[in-house]
Amino acid sequence: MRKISIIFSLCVSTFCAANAQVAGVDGNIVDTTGIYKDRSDSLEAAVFVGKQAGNYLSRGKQIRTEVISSAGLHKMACCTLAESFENSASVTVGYSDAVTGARQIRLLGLSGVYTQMLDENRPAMRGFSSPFGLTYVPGQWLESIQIAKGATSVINGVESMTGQINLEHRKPTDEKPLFLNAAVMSDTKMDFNIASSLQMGPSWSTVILGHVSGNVRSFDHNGDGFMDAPEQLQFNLSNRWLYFADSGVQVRFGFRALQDMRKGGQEGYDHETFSIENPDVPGTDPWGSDITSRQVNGYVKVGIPVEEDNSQNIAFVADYTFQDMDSYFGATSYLGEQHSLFANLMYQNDINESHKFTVGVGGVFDRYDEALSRTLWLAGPALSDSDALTELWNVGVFGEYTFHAGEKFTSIIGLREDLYAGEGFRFSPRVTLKYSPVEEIVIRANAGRGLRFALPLADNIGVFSTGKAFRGDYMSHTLEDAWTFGGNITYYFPFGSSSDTYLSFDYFRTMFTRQTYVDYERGANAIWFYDIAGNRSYTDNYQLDFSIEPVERFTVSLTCRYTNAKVELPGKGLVERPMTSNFKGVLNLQYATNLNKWIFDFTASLNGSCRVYDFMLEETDDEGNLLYRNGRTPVYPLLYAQVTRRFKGVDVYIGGENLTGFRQKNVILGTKGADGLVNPRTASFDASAVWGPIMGVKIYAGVRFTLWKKS
Amino acid sequence: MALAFAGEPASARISASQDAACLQKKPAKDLKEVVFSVNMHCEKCVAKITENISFEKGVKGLEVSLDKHTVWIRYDASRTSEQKLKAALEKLGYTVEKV
Repeated sequence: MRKISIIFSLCVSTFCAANAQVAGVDGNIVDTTGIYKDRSDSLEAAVFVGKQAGNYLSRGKQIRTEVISSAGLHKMACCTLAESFENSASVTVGYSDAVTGARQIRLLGLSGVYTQMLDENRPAMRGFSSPFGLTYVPGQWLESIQIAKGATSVINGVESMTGQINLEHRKPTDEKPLFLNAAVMSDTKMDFNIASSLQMGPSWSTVILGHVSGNVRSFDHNGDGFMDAPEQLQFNLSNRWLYFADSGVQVRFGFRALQDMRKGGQEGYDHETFSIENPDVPGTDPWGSDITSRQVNGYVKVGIPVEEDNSQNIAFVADYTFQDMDSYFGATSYLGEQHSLFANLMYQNDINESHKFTVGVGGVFDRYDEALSRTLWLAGPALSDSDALTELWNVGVFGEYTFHAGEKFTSIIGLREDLYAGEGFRFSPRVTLKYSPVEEIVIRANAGRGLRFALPLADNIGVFSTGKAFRGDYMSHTLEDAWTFGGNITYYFPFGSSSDTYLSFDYFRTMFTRQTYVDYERGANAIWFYDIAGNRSYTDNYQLDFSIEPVERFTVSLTCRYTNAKVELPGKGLVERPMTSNFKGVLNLQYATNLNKWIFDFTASLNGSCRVYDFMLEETDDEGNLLYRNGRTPVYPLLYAQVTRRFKGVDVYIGGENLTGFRQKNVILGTKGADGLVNPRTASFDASAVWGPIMGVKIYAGVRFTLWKKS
Repeated sequence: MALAFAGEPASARISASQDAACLQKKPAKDLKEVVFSVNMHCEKCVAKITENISFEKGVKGLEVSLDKHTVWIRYDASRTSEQKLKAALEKLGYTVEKV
């Protein structure tokens, strides 16, 4: 009996783990810190082996949420979080520049900084970790990813403007004492992961996560004198604990430490000896980037049931991050230190089946120490120094009321009032509605306000991979302010091999009233940073998702997104936001043989064009033809394929990325020297105008080993 | 007993008796089904059972129902048995009874 109770408690706590829920002694689960609690769909149907739902729309969630499951995370190499989104049209992943390897996502057509990243419902990847944060999360550490579009819950703050992406890691309660993964790519990148979940009796469990990745060498396949990808080495370690008491009290705590080093640009760059003046012999003093980041994170979550049936509970969450970033780009150095603290205290009460509310206090404190020294070649060497110690914080009260009218209708009203450093009080309302008139139809709508302090240089790390002068408010921290509203309708068809055949349509609009805009077009060889201050800045997004399992174990999903992103610029009026792709279509096919012993994945995407910067209009290829005839980039396809062979406890996979080999031409822009290569010491140098793949075909192979806990 | 001789083409190495055996139809698999009641509690249990029982010798089909707490297995009786499958589930830490 005791054994059964141990298994039960572990299972319940695992099930709860996704949202730091508090489970009562009767197993009743109450979400205290989640985005919104999902309906327990999993309890409604048998699980047929053979179903490998990778990306799917959650049927039960009140807010439109795309889930990338464990199966979805295994569809591709997914060495890092960035690669996990390749199957998704909602999220577009690109490079910030052609030098640093920094990846950036776009959700609803806007930069990833407007999407709140959550690590098991704690804000993550903020400040200096935002440029490289997507590469700081090993894909093999993750259990699932939830992408929620629009104005989400107010509980974790209102920094989410376009949505939230929540990362669920492997759990302490997983009955997997050992997981190992090794993968190697044709560009010599190697990736090693280890995870160990251990249970020490009924109350204590822990998971240890380790990661090492790097590349042996780098290449310059396009012959532009710059490495296609930086030389890189990353160490990443995390340890997470769960204490689950008989009384129902849960305590979760953990830490994480990482170090990431990357050297990009021209091979042989040394920031200590680099001079902005042209060397006597070309190529003897290479330009490059050299970035070292260190991060330490610690957190604690405590959930205490107030009532025995857990209808009332109290939860406390605290999270601290220290980030140190030393970055050098040619003769520029950008050194930063960040201390961030997030804290939340909340009380939740399930009054009855129809009414529930959560109230709490919480806030964020960020201390940024930035030192910028930028030397450029204008009429001669020109040095500008900027040092700043900035404390940005907000603290406030919030409340969220949920009303359920049976299974048909749910409304959530969230209100938050925060005091922002130097800005005064801001009121942020958010509302979410879900209506399901019949079982086959789900209609959702939401709207709300988002607020965040801009960190102009870190938010736009690509600006350092240029020879351009910075102008305007690049060291100030505007409180960006936006409203997002939209909705979604999903129709579930009665055909297909599973009950998950659906067609879904979304529309979302984000409108800024204040936004730090980074303008590459305002002046020659300069990048302007300024607040749009009332000028129009908005994006409209339309998306169609279709998913079907026509025959058992064969799934087809098709997603198409169209984005209309506009911004009103001084002297130009309302224009299309540059370097923002206007559409993306993704087709994913997956076939698994009986009992999933072989799995075949194929993904094709068609990536729409974007308006290029004015200074790119005259760019020509080697034959002298204009590269951007209509001022737009070409539409291009990407293909991915993977085959997985599964044995008991062992998966072996081989795959390929960008199988069409499409690459952006002329990634490095600027005045060319006598050697025919772009001279990075000139003011026109720009390696940040990236809209397409930099690398061609990549082949990879890997193996995953899982040891399951036995009785 | 087939005899192979060096230098002989591979196709010639198959003896007449083997040839006849090859032409014979493979005997139909002795497929049986069994349903076990298992004290699983959550999705994690479903995953654990799925990931392990799928690869047990002789298993040809598997369906795990969380709401009914049952595991349905189709198996090749010439390669495994109810007892072995029950033992495999018990080895994962569950209490198992045939329904």
